[in-house]
Amino acid sequence: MTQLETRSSPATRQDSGGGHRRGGEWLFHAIGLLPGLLLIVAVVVFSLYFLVDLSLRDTTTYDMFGGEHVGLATIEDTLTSDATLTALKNSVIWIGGSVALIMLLGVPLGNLLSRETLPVRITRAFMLVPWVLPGIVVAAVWRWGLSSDTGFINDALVRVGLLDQGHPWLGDPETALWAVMAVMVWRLFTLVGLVIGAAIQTIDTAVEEAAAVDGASRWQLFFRIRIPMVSQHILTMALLTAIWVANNLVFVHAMTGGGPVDSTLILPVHIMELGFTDFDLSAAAVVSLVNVVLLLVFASLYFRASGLLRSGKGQN
Amino acid sequence: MATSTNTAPRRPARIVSPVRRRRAGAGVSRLGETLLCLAILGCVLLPVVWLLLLSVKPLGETYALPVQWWPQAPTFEAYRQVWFSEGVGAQWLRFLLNTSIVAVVVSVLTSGIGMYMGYVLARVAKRWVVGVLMLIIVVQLLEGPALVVPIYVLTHAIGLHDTLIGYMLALLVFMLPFGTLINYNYARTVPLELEEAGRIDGANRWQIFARIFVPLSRPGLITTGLMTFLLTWGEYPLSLILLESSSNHTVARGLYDLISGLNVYWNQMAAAAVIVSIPVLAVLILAQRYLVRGLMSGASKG
Repeated sequence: MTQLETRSSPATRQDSGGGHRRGGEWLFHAIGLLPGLLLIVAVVVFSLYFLVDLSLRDTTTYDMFGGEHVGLATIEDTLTSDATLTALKNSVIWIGGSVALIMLLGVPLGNLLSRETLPVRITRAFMLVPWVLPGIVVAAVWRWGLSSDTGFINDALVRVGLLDQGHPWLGDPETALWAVMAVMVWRLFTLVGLVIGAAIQTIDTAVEEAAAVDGASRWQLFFRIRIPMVSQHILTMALLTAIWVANNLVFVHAMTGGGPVDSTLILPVHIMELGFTDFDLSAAAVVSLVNVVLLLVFASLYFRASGLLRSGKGQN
Repeated sequence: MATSTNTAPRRPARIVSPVRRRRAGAGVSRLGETLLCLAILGCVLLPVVWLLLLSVKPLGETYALPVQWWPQAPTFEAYRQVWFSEGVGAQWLRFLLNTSIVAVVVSVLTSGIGMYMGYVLARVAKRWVVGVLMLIIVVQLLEGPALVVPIYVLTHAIGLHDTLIGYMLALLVFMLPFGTLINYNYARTVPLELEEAGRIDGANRWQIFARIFVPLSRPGLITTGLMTFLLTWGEYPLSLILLESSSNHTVARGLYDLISGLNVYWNQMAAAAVIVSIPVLAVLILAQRYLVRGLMSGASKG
């Protein structure tokens, strides 16, 4: 799915261009790349510098450039606070659980969506609906849908007979995180299914026909041929999903706000609360750095999986 | 000896053979397949249908027990209250206008600048390009809650806090990597021969880009523009912290305020959400193939 290795042939061809064109070429590249790159680099360098700087100070949102330098005190206080530890624990469950469920549902769905029958084609047309809807719309619908007595989820469960009476999914600390996770899964598993399905469609049919001739069963076909042949896509989708879930604020923030009793407090919500409810900007910066480190770990795994580093080395 | 004669005729056949040819069934039977499809469609569409039905219920019915799925007395009252009543209506139209301005401006800039950057990166083919690509991907991954604190400080520092310009600039910084990556991947599929031909005909670098590459890269441009539109239309974290006065709010913030109050008028929420969702659903209906192409290109954002 990702093919980021640089192509070597154009370089050799373009370098053979006439000497007087070199200047024009250089200018063309510089004008194309520099403004955008400088803007991006400036913002990111400033952001990271300021996060570190804020972490070493003790200041509020109203006095963002002031505050005393306190060494590692803010970092220590923030990292050892109960709320931050809870947020870390919840984030691990939230990201790990969401990714596992999304992939467990998404990969078999992809297998189904790779077929070319009428019901499948109709289904495929609707698979991006959860993903294109604005996150806040999804959060609003589900917040209502999961509410204890007037929500459609409880009503459906009671009617089917799975529940005796409605359960306050978002109001019960035991179920709140899992309920929001179900919404996250709803938003992304069809997208993953669509991408994996498209990947399965690119498998050479001859391979599967050969396996079928050799007497492979349907399940063997799925587990021994298809899964291994699209494993690269599965891995990159899993990592991308992890990053998307890690960067998702809207579902928890708009559905539970981190509650009840911090049961859905995840790192992004913790950042918002510290920085813009408690106005403790330094503490918010510390938690932001934790989140940045987490994302960089995912990023490095993603680079490995997508082969970017490998091809970079191999190019020479 | 036999290999050369065998492979020769097979090759064109493989190119012709359609990729989407029907596959040997792995997994379930036809009946199972149809039932599964129905279950999945139900799971995906149920909340959407529920939202639509909710928006045409009078307020009393939204709290009625037992739950009534079908509206007993359908009314467009909620739509009138949100979109056309005095005060509230003007406010929501303002949110819609702000969101449209932001989404359109950011999409146009991202696809235009992203196309140029992606093209240059695809054609330079030096070792440092890999470094630039990695930087771009990292920036793209960091976008979101992890950087809201420094972005908040930054917009204050340059005097653009609580302005749509500042908000659009912040979005552009985080969308540009995405636009660049999509166009980079796309530019690598455009054959060089056409550009070489232009060069031989005496076209300079700018002419080759503008007259040969740009027309060819329309699909990449459209994909970038549409996906950026979808992603900025519902953007949440930055809109919460960068836009404070209500005249600058976007629909995401408007909906958040609507559901986070003490008394939630769920039919009004639904009426607002339905209208807010129309543009993105229109993009999906009109341009699904571009979206799938974008998602498959690997330069994805969630």
